[in-house]
Order: sequence, then C-alpha cells, then structure tokens
Amino acid sequence: MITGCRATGRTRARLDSLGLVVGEKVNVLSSSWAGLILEIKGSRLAVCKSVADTMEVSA
Amino acid sequence: MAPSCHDGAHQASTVAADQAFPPSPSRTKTYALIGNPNCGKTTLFNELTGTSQHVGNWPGVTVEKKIGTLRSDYGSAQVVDLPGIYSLTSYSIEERVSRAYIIDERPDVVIDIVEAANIERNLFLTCQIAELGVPMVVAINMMDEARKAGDIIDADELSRRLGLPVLPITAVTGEGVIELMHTVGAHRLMEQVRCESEAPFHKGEDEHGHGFQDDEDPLEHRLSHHTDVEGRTNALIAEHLYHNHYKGPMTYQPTDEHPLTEAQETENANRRYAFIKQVVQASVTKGRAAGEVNRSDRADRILTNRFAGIPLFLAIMFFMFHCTFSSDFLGLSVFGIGPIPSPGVWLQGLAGQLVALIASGASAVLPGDTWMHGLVVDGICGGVGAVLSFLPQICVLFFFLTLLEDMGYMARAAFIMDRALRPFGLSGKSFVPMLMGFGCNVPAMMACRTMENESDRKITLFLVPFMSCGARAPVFLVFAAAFFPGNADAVVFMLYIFGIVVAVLTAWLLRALVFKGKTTPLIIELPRYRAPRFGSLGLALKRTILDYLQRAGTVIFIMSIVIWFFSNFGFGLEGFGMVEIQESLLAQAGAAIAPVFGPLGFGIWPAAVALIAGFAAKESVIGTLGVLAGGVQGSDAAAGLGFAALSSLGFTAAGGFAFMVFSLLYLPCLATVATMRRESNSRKWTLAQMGYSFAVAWICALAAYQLALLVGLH
Repeated sequence: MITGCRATGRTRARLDSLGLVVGEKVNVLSSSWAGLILEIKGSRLAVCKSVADTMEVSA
Repeated sequence: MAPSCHDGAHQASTVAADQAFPPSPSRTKTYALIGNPNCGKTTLFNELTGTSQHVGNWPGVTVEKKIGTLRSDYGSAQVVDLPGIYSLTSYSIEERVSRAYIIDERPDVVIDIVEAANIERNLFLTCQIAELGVPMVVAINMMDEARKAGDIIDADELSRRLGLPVLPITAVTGEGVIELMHTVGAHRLMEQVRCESEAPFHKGEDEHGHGFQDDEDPLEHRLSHHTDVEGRTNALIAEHLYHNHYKGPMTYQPTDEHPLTEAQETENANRRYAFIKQVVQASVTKGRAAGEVNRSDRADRILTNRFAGIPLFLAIMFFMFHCTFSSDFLGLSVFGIGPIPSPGVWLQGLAGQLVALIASGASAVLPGDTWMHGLVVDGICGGVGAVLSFLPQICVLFFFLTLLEDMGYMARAAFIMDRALRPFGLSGKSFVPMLMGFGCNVPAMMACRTMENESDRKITLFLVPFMSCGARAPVFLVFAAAFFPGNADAVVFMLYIFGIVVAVLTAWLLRALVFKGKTTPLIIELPRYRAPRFGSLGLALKRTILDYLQRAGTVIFIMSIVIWFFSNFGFGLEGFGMVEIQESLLAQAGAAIAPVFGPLGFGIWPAAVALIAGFAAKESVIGTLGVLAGGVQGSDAAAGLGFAALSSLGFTAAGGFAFMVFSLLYLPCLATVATMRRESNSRKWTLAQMGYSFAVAWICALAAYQLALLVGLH
C-alpha cells in the first residue's frame, strides 16, 4: 500500500491522475534496471527509478 | 479555502453547467470523443465516420484533434477525436488541446470513452469532465476483452451510481455503437429542449400550438411532444436522461485568478478516487484477482528484463531489417540452401521487373531518339520507376513497425531504453518519437506533443531527423545492394543504429550546452500485449502504399521531369537546346557544388544534384540518380540502379558508403522542416537543426570515407 509520496509538481499531478495516491494498493510486477512495472487499478504502469524512489510503501 | 467548490450531487450544478454550455442549434451538431490514451477513441471514430485513421496499441497515437462526419446510419453530426489524456490538468499540449476544446468549442455532447479493463483509472477523467458540467455520455469500450478476462460490468448500476448515462460497447466490432449513438442523439436533444424550456411560453400553448397547462413542467412538456431530428422518437430516453445528475464528490475548482494549490489537487484526486472506488465496487466484478500474473506479465519479465531487455530490442530490430533487406534470408546459404532472398528483397525484385517491363514497353512504343522518348523512358520511368520499385520493401518495413506497435511492444521499448538514455539527457519518452521516426519524421515530430517538459520536447524535435525514415531506405537499399551485396542487411541495420547513436550524442551535447537541467522522470502506461489484428495492419499498409504512391505521383514525378529537362538541355554551339548530359545545365550547376563533397569521396555532380533534390523529398535522391543513370548510360531505365549504373555515374564503393552516411544525416526533407518549424514555434531552432545536421553529416561522411579506404574499399 502507498503510504506517502515525496514527488512534487507535474510528476505528483501525473501520479495522482494515474491513481498512485496515498492509501492505494499497488503490486510490483517486475523490478529491473530501468525501474518498476506496477499494477494499479487494473493497469500496468512503468515508472523510472527516480519516481519509484519518491514513493513510500508498506507491505 | 478554495475559491469555489462543485457539488456534483446538487441540482444547482447542472443548471450552472447549462448556462456555461448552452447548445447552439444554429451550427452543425458536434460530438467530441474523449478518454484516456489507448482506450479505443480512434477505433470508435473510424467506426462512426467510416474513415481509417491510424490506430495503435500504445499511448499517444492521436496527438491532435481529428474531425469527421458521422456516418448517415448513426445520424448527422461532426465527430471530433481528441488526443488521449489521463486528466484535465494542463501539463502537456494534448491535455491543453482537449481541455480548451471542451471549454471553448462547446461540443453538443462529449462521449467519454472508458476502457472496460481499466475502468477505475479511466473514471478519474470521467469525473473531471462531469465536474465541468458538459453534456456527456460514457461509453465503456472493449467489452469483448473484459468478458474474455471474466470481468462483469453492470452498466445500469454504474450509470445509477455515477449519475451519467453509461453504455457498454466494443468499438472494434461495432457492438453497442447504435445504442450509444441513440443515447447521444437523445442527450443532445434533451439539452436543446432544456435550453428552449427556459424561453417563456405563451399562456395556454407552446410556440408549436400544443396545449400547455400552467402546472406542467416546461421541460417535460417539450419532451413529450418532441421527436428527434433523425426521425427516432427519443422522448423516453431523453426523459430518462433528464433524471441523470452527476453524483460525484465535491471538489475544489480552479478559476483564472485562483489556480489550485498542489495540496488541493491532491485532495481532489483522493476524493475522486474514493468516490470511484465505491462506484466500481458496486458495479464491477473482476474476473482476475489483483496481483495474479497473466501472460502479459510473463512476457514483460523477459522483454523488460534488466539483462535481456536491450539485447532483445536490438535483436528484434535486426530481424526486422533482415526480413526487409537481406539477400540471404536466415543465413540459409550456410547450410547449402539458397541463398534465398528475404521477403522484402524478393518483392522488390518483382517490382523491379514490373518497372523494367513498363519501361521496355514505353521504349518500344515511343519513337527512338526523340525528346519524348527520353522524357518518358529516362525521365519518368527512370525516376518514378526507381522509387516505385522499392515500395514493397517499404511495406515490409512498415508491416514490422506496425506489428510491434499493435502488439504493444513500443511502450516497453521506451521503458527499457529510459535508463540507458538518461546519462545523455534523454528519457524513454523521447525514444517513442524516435522509433516512430523510422516510419516518417513528420508524425514522429508531432508525437513530441505528448512530452510535458518543453526542453525535452525541443531536444527530441532536434533529434528526430537523425532517425532514418522510410523515404531514405531506397538510398541504402540501392547502394548497399550494389556495393555490399552479401551484407546489405547488416550495413543497413548499422546505418539505422548509427542514426540513433548520433541522435543520442546530440542530445548529450544539447543538454550540456543549451538545456541544462534534468530530464522529466518516466511514467508510462504499458498496454496489454495483444495478438496483431489484421484489420489495423491492413489499414497501416494501405495508408503507407497510398502515401508512397501519392508522393511518387506528385513530388517525384515533377522532380523527375525537372531533372530530366535540366540534364538534357543546355547552351551548346547552336544556342539553347538538347545537349549531351555532361554539357547540360544540371551538370554545370552540379559541378559547381560537387567540390563540397570531394573530401567525402563523392565529389561528382550527379551526387550533388541528387542530394539537393532530396531536400524536396528523400525519395528524390534515388529518383534523380535513376534519371541521370539513364542519361549517362545511354540506355533505358530497364537496366535499373545497380553497380554498373552507379559506377557509370562515378560512384566508388568507399564513396558510396560515405554517400549513405551523408544521406542518413544531412538536411531533413522540406515537410519535416515545416513540421519542425511549427512544432518548435522557432525559426531559429529549425535553422540551427538544419545547419547542425549538415555539418554532422559532412564530418561523419568524411570519417566513413576514410574508414572505408582504411579497410581496403575503393
């Protein structure tokens, strides 16, 4: 579950609109050199490492 | 506290919306299609209008609004296909286009397309549009895929919970589209009636003479007497719609004077998603549990793997070029079979024979040694024919590019390349337009509109011309086949990769000198892998063929005639008239420019003339050489552009190699320059790209020539 997000500005707005909001459940489908592939609300999102680093999650 | 707050559950919000968006009966009815990227808007647009706009399985295919006329069986109206957006914020150009269109142009009805499999995420935009108070109908698209996945969507419940009309459809098969358009028609009618109802009635009767009771509601009165303009009685549906009122949460609404703060935007997102969650829980049953791994996920584990991702991408690209350009398909000659040409080379051979046959026929029919014979056989058949003979190979290349796009691989390619490109100041999002540039640089530049960051966008616009478009392919095909017959596919593949390398290094230079700062982080939706659909592949090929034929029939045709004329006429001893090609006006003009290319190994006038002609359209390079080869060889165009023809023009293997490198990188074509000027909104930036690309092309061609000499090519 997403517990916090340190992203700001347009990155934060983009994450919000894609459903990556605090309290939302997220599944990490794969983690690679390029970043993460997440499943959220039934869709798959690829986020680069710098975005992934701004998100706080709890298991 | 926010300057204003919208209460979707309140009747007043609808009234306010009606005042903001009154329908205008005097103009043509307009329905706008809006939705998330890759939710099937363009497929529905094609179904509604009977057109064949490009459809792809990745976000960002539509970057500007497209307008079409509704097919007569669906009613009469204009349909506008807006770019796909995730929200109504204004960070990227396509978001601004969509938002401005809805607010300023006031379409009669907005058709919001929601992807059935991604319903929760897609409803976020639905809420934002509904909050604007526009007349809207929600279409849940790709119901066939949802059913296949075991999802059950109760559209009626969804409609009741949202307070909006909701219809399930499958745009690709046309399922539910008639019902959707009936509802849209009724909705528009209802808005019109509602607006008319605000006009005062005469005592006892309306303006049509129907009796009107004092205690009657004007809107319901009109609905009961109204027949839809298309001839369908929609009063009942309209009445049903009359009771629809958006039931979303209260959200902060921005004004011109008071834009929302970041905290308010986040709060809005939380409220909308909380509402959406309740709606979805009550109306959607998912067939697959969250976190369950499916085939797409398994494929992603391989294709986006940290070690295998990039090598697999390169292997896929090489296979594409191998199928298009190789004369020894699958290397079967190693096993004593063949060599068998690849599908692209085989088809090109057939097309070449057809062109030769037409040229021979024309040569036999027309009287020899006349200007008409020269014009038709050497000029038109030589120029246009040389270009047309490569159409099958261009089709094979586009077939593979469309296949990768349709299957959903393009977005993955952007993701896996993101980290590798970052040290050079590029992001994976830049890589998508770059890949599109392999097809044509013009749409690739337009695809840059999806990039939110202005400096990222300008850098990508600068780089796209280094990606070898389909029009440049004939140059590589002719020269690689003539001078490197055994390794044509490897040479062409290397040139394409070299274009990417030059683009990446240019980005690094621009980031270091002009646009200092970081690239925008990558957040990209990965579409599900889909089996390729023959319909969309066929449409893409049809579009490629028609576009190519159109260019061959216009720009190349005219250029061929012009080149033939100036290569056959000049000032001789008897004044102006037909002369030997070496004395022609073109030879003299070309000879004046040719020394620029001397150090590059192709300081010959035909090369100079061909490169200048290529500025109009890149296919003209080969068209021009085709015309000139006919003139120099003194033979007809049936001979084709092979080693003999190129040698007779003065090309050597090393010079030919340098010529390919120069053609890859030098000035973009006129259409690309115009697009760059428009997209960058900067003449200076466009001129800088032109100057830079010419300089880079010259330096790289010089290096290629020296390298070729070093390895023993002459």
